Amino acid sequence: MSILIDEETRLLVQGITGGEGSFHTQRCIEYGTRVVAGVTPGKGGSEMLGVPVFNEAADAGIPLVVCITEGIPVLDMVMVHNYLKNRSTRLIGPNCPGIISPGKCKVGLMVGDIHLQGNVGVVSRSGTLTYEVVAQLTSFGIGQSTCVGIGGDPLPGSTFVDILKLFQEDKDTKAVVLIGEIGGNMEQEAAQFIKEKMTKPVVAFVAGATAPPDKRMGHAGAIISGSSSRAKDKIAALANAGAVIAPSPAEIGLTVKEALGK
Amino acid sequence: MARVDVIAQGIVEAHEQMDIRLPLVIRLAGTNVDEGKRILAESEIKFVEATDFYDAARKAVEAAEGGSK
Repeated sequence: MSILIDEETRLLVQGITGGEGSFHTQRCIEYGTRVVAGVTPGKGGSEMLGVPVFNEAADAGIPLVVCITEGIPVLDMVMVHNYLKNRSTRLIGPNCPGIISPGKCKVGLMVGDIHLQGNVGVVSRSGTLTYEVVAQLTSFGIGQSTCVGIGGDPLPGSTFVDILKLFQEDKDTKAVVLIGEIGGNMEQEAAQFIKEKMTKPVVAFVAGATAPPDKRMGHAGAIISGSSSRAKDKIAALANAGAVIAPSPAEIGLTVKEALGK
Repeated sequence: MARVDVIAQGIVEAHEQMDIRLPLVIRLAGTNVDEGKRILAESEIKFVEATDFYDAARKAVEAAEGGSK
């Protein structure tokens, strides 16, 4: 098992004919993902990578939308949130690497071959740190059920809590790695959920321990503003909730290994 | 998200435009990593290659200490 995507997933790629779109679609297909169609306005009726291209994606109640794109204005995301509010569509991202269920399906631009099928779920605001932790886990022989990049924007379509709920319900996920960073209070919400609802072990790392206040650190959402968005507040909340805190990004894999008693 | 060959090309271009005298520790991993490593290997850049975060940090400290002696 895995969450969100698996070998049955049928993927439609919006922007499939663009440079990045076709580059990463090719890699998703090579990984085994069933890409069934692509969308590029004005290029309907053509083919790309053996996949039919359409002019528009209908509002057909697609259950899962993964948005990789960086730089979507917050105000636009407010409208997207409002639009999705009473719909069943789940949005992952934007500004994220996507999702992978190792050995089954890849919807995103992560490197496929560093992953190993297994029982640890990964949820992260950082793409690069996700690949780091995955590479470390795989080097220890610890596989992953699903890795979800929720993105580095201030208003993500799905939050840590949304994904933790899915991992908690997924019978083949035995433990979860959560990678947070400065900005907002999603880690505190996650801590609350971990404390009240999670029965599975959670290993957490929060990036930005030395970040100065009021300075945006790469991600649009990674900015310390107010008293709760510092790394140390988030780490304290997660530790208090029972999560095992990884002391450095180089030791996340090792922390998971120890937490699993391997 | 960035491709390693693009990163490597960027390092090469930066090296051409700047007079880099400090030791350089480079760790590459990700999409097109082999191509990225080839670009750096074929360049004239002198650098220490690291395998992971921890290794890179350790080699950077070693290089910095070596420079101050």
